[in-house]
Amino acid sequence: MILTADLVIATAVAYVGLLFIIAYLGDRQTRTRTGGFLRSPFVYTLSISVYCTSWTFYGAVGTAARSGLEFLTIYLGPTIVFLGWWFILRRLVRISHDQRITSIADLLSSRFGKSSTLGVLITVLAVIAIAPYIALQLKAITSSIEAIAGSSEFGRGSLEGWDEVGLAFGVAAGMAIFTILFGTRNVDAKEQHHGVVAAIAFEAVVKLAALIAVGVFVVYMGGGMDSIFANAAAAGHEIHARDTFGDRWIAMTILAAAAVICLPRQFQVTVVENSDENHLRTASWAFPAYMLAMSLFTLPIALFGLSFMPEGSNPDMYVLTLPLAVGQDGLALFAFIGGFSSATSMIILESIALSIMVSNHIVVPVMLRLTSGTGIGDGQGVRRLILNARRISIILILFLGFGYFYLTRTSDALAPIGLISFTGVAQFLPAILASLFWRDASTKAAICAVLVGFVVWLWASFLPSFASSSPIVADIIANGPGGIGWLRPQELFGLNGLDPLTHAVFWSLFLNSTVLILGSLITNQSALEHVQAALFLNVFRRTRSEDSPIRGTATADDLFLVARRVLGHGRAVELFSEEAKLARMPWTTLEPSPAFIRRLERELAGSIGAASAHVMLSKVVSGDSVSLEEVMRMADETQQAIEYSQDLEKTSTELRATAEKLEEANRQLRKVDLQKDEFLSQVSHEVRTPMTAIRAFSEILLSESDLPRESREKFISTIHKESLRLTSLLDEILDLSALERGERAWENRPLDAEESLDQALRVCDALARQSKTKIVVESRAPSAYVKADPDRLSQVLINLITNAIKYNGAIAPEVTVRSRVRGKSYIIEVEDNGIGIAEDERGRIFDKFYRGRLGETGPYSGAGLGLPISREIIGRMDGKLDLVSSADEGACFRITLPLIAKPDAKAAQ
Amino acid sequence: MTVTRRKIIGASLFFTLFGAMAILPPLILLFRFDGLVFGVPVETVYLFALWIGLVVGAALFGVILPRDEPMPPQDKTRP
Repeated sequence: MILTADLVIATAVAYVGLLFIIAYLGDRQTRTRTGGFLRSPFVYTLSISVYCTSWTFYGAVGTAARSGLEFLTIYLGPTIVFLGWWFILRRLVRISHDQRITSIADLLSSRFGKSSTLGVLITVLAVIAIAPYIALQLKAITSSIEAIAGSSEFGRGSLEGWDEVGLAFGVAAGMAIFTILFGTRNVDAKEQHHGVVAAIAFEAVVKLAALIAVGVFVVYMGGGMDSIFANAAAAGHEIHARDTFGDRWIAMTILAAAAVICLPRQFQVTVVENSDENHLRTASWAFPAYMLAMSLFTLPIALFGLSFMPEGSNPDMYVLTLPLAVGQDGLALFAFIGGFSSATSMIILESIALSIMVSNHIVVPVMLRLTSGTGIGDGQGVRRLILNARRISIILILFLGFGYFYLTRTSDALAPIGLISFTGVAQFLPAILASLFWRDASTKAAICAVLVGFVVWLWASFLPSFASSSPIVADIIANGPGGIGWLRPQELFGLNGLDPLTHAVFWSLFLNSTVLILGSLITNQSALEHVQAALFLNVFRRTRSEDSPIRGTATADDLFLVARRVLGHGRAVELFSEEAKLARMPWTTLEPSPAFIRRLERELAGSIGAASAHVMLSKVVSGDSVSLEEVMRMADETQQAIEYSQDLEKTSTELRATAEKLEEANRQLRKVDLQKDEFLSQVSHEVRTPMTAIRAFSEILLSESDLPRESREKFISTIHKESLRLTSLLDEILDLSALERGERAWENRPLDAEESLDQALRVCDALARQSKTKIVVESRAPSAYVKADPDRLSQVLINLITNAIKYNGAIAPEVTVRSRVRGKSYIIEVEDNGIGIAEDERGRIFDKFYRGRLGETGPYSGAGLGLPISREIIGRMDGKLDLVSSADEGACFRITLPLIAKPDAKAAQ
Repeated sequence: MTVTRRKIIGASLFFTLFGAMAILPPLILLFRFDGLVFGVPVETVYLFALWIGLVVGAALFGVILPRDEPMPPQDKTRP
């Protein structure tokens, strides 16, 4: 085979013809059948592979030859995104199905309150950002044709007299015609192009096959992988030697991950053209596998090219020039077709996606502004206008790409151009993520954020690409605009030392996200934004019974007119017939329900975008354009009422709790009051007995003056005894009340409790002798230091021992005293062998004025305050006074005091 | 261990994040040393082997991740 430029061009044209036939058949198949081969997940995956453009086909080898493994980042980033399809892509697809989203501009405009400003902004920015990418494809096709023409012994054939620019212009024009014929034949309600997708899928197979063919051939020629790597290493081409995994590696991975979501054509194939959410399951592994296959031979081709091809040959073209160099013309032609495939598929889809955005977000809104509410279109419908707008946009987009190519034709590498576009479209990513995950992101903030990111991109990434062709730009890069150093495009704010790409990615995305977040925090959402944000966030739990944002009194006729103009007669009739059938009434009397208007709006959105569809229907469904605001206000008022009633409920609960507390306090008070009354009556009773005696005896003494002397003295001594008893009773009451209120001055100091016990035993000795009671001192602790008031401790001990003596009642009374140290406690027990304390009295023995059976009747009746006072005193020493069950029948009282360390002599003094 | 819907989704998230970590420094720097596997530098082999592993894992998750009802359940009550 003799490979000439003419043959190559003829083949390319024939190939395009083949694509056209495939597209035509694809369209026909989906029209006649509902599912079929074209809706399989594998065709879907192959169409996503439009991601691999001629940048992959030619440029990846060039990148590998220049910077080693770096080319892999472009495929690893998207691999991660597809691994995580459940979290981002699935949401995008579901939202787009629900909302009839037609493009990335439509998505953002729809989320941010159907804002037409945002739609226009995203569209314009996307068109600018994609220009370098289109230029890359033009450059690749031009270079590949030039490479073949340059190596052909038959010269340039009919290319004679065409320079590179002319050739690129020709390619751009051819592509424009082809894309117009291809992609703008009709306006689909869902903006799906089955024919185009079929052709793209076919191209995906062709480019993969071509690249693998070249790869296998190169590996065969190079004598296997190991010898290719060994030869390259011997020639000094080591992928190893470079600093690959630095900031640039990270930046490129992030960019590629962003691009596979944000590139208009990727959004088109992945989200808009998706006919079944479950296709993502297959694509999640099949698309990474496709990219893996595409990258498998990149390194061998690059390394073999470096060592085999003459010095100075363009590494971007190795895929083509290697077969040419060894005379494999057939393989070279296949490689050319592969490269051509990857370029055409990208150009076709990208310009279709962009043209949809331009017509839906710029042309249709302008048209709507220019016409009055009643006369939309000129009676021919907006369909033709939309199609024409798309055709013009395709031409505009391709020639913007050509313009970029013309201005930057002196730089030779493909990949850097593509990365400029990637950085540009990555500016949509923060807004997209916010629309999926953040309810409070506001329209104003999104607009500012995208604008800021884009300005930084223009300055730091787009502008520097003209440096090679413009001395002014080169000067700005070197010295900053007007010599302002901190505005140098590749060293913004003095940040130097970073790779220029990383620098641009960092500043643009950082400032973009910052503005988005801070802006959303300080601005408020409109009613419509609110509704849309909720719809986007709750896409997986939304019920279908919600009301349309547009409620209306529009007649079916008005709506039908609009629908026919946008959707076409057939589809409009179909829609209205369905609705009439559902409502069971004839067409003419059909009253459109809110649900139907909503459905219609979505159908229209499928053709002209959400914002335009909303405006268009709002114009027709007139008389209540305020309805949404009203609904929102009503909703707000309801919300306020609910909140108010919740507040009331909360307050009443609090009140109930307070009332309960008050009641409890009241109960306590009543109890204390009762205790006080009881105490007073007991005190009065106690005081009354001696007082009665004193009064009676003194009355006798007063009235009877001739009493014998001994009687008189007996009476006086009784009065004296009763007075003493009264005084001691009052002393005890005062003492107890002072102790209970904590008023007594009290000083606990370290002392040996054994000494206090000895003292108490001595004091009680006389009483014991008098009442013939035997005091048995059993085991004693050697010494026990506690913190106590010595007088008070003795008082307690004396009280306990005297009680044991006084209320014994046994025939041979005996009181046992013992003390011991148990762990960290010191214990004293006083036990008697009397009749003990009955079970029912044990609980009350420490109550005030309680005296027990013996106390009431015995010869030594006390006031019943000794034990309560003792217990109070021991409590003040952090100890315990208990009645414990004794071994014998008698009562046993136990004092437990905490031990302390023995103080040294000095401290004790 | 009971495998719930949420656990599968959690595993899928972990797998994705693990993939992202594995292709970025510093993890990738572990494989930046002189060495050849079948004549190919070790870092290249690592990246492609990892890539194959991610594809296989993705295929697995594509099968086991829960399938959503295409329509919300409310629809069933509609006539």
